[in-house]
Amino acid sequence: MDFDFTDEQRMLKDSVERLVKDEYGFEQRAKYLAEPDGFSRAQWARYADMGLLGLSFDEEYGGSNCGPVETMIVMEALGRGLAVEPYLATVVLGGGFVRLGGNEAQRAAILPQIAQGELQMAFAHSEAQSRYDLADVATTARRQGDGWVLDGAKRVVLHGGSADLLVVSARVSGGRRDRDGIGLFVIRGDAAGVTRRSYPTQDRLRAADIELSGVRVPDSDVLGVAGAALPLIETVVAHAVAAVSAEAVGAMAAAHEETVEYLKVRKQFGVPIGSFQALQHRAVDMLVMVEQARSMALFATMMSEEPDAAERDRSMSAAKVQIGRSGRFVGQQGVQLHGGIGMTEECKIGHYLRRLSVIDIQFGSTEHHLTQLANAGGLIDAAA
Amino acid sequence: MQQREPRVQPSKRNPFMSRISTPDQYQELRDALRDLSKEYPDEYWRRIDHERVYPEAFVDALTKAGWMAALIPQEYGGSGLGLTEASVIMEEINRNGGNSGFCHGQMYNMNTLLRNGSEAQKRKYLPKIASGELRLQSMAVTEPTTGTDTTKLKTTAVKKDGRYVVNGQKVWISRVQHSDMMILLARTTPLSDVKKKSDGLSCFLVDLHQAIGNGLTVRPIPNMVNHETNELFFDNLEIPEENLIGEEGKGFKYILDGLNAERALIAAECIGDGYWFVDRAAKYASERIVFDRPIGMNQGIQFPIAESYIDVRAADLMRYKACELFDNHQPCGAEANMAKHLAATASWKAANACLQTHGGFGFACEYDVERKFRETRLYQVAPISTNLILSYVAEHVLDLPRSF
Repeated sequence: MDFDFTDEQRMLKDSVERLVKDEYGFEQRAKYLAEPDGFSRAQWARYADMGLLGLSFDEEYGGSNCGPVETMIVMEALGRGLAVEPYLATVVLGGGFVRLGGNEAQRAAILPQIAQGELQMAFAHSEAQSRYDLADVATTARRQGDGWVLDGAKRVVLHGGSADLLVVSARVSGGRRDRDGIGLFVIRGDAAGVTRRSYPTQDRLRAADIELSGVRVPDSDVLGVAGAALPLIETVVAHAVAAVSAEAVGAMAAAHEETVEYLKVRKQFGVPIGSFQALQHRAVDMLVMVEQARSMALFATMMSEEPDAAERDRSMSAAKVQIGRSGRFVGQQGVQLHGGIGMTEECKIGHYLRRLSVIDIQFGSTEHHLTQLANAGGLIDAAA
Repeated sequence: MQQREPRVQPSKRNPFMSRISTPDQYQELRDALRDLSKEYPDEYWRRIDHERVYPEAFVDALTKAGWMAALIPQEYGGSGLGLTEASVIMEEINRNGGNSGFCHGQMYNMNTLLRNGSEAQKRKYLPKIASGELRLQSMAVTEPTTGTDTTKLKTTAVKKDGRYVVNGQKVWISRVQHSDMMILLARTTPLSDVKKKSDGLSCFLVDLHQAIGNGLTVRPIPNMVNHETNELFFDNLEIPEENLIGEEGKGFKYILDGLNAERALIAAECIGDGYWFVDRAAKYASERIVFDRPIGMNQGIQFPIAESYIDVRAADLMRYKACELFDNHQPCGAEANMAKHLAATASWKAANACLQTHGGFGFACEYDVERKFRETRLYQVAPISTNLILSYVAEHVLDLPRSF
């Protein structure tokens, strides 16, 4: 298997890493966070100029027809800088749904706008009761005339407060946790009947709770077949798992570098604390965890387009378990090795821990994915 | 970076009175056992292990000195000490390089008899156990198909003409070949006929000399340590009615007393092992010079030893708590289990630190580390596995739902 990047991929990597290096200093990031939507519109325009926003779209929609490896390269670089722009929400999730599930008219209407940086999206799926079960949807879509009416409530929708378009899951038939009967609807964020409450999450990104009350959706804004959307949701979430895995690797690698640098400059007892073996060993343990995570993120990237959904999801769970474990270890040890300063807001290391902790629970925690793996069969039957 | 001077101090250590000793009220007891242990140095234990024989001389000396009768009340010829003192005895044996596994059964198995037997049984057996004339070192509970699921055991004892007729099978029954009597747990009322599954089990005293060849077959299981343990097969073995201990059907409760004592004592043995490993590791790390300085100057070497010591000391406290409760006839299941878990975990950690500190020499028999390493590993599994202790605490202490 060839793990080397092509020349184009290497150029992409260099350019995104340069962007992050130049534009995502600690102070700069703090300024972006203080903007009204919690990220920088100017940086978003820069992403568009660099072609990052249409990377995975066909050329006819203003994209460059790249695959998951390019997304991985971008996400890893964004992870290094703890970028706060809605790349995951807009490009990987929203764009992913339209790219993979939309009809020709929908793709033509939405994808070019995303690629040009003119449109942002969010995936309004999780609900108060659903936890990590992708099939658990209580929001309803009722047939009315030649359209649908949505009612329900979505929780912790990543970048849901600022998104122009929302991809909303709703149940057209069946019980709350049935695999069948789920539909996906594209609505405007400011559509009649939509109430959004935006707030910062632990990692300082923004999320929103969204109430839907009699929101009307024409048939033309249904993605795919209403009632048969779960496989599409699972596919796009698999892409998102691969993407956050890469983002986590970037964040871990940067946290590790910050920590090693600190060990070299911080002096105690007249010597750099990095001269203490116990701390050297800890730094090595961190590196081992970063590299294990990197391997699994690569694995997730390669498996994200696997046609056998069961095999794909098993791979995603395996990757997510390692990402969760490595991320928590690297983040926590990074703070520990920084000592008291690591606990302060002024020190970058704690912000890596914040993002890595959130990634651990995004799209399913380590424990959730361990259970998924145990239940996926081929091992032993879980205790009744 | 400034050059650090090696801080090498000549070892002032006496292997039997190491710096890591913790003075307590049992110092006289400890001194006595250390004196006795001096007669049985490392070479003795190494030979016993190498030849896979029983440490007859050591166990005789322990018995003659009265230590094996520590828990037997004075009126039955013992010294009437508590489980706490008994645990110190076990600890010291292991701490001085020996292995209590050869003889701890003699100390605690009789508890089932002492606490639940009739006066006649106690008068008949306890003085002889105290003198060492009668060895009650074995307890037959575990079965091949039941493991720790004790109430499901399949060995039956059916009453018939003033006798019980026993059929079934046991496994991991230790010291049978160095015992005269054995305690047996068997089902006297079928599981389907009892209200509580722990009812209907009964305890018996089995005279091994009479039984072997007359319904009892013993098959030794060769294993990783020099520990004599066996499979037992019962084929219509007859036991006289008067050998029933306590009331028929209440045996499970009686056995539990013995099991709790066993766990507390094995915790003490692990603690003895733990101190032994820490002591040897610290000594070697201070003396062994590599790159012109003692390897103990490396944090990678000294921290694991320090961590092990901390864990052993902490486990030590829980051991005393468990023994104190047992001696006051209070429920001690949780504490005995927790002590065993903490101590076994600590001794295994210490064993690894010690072996790693010794490098290649850790594998050489003449350093005794590999032997003690094998011996202490057993306690991750026996007499109860660490997982089952976690289940016990989850279910019985924390009221969590039973997980199996």
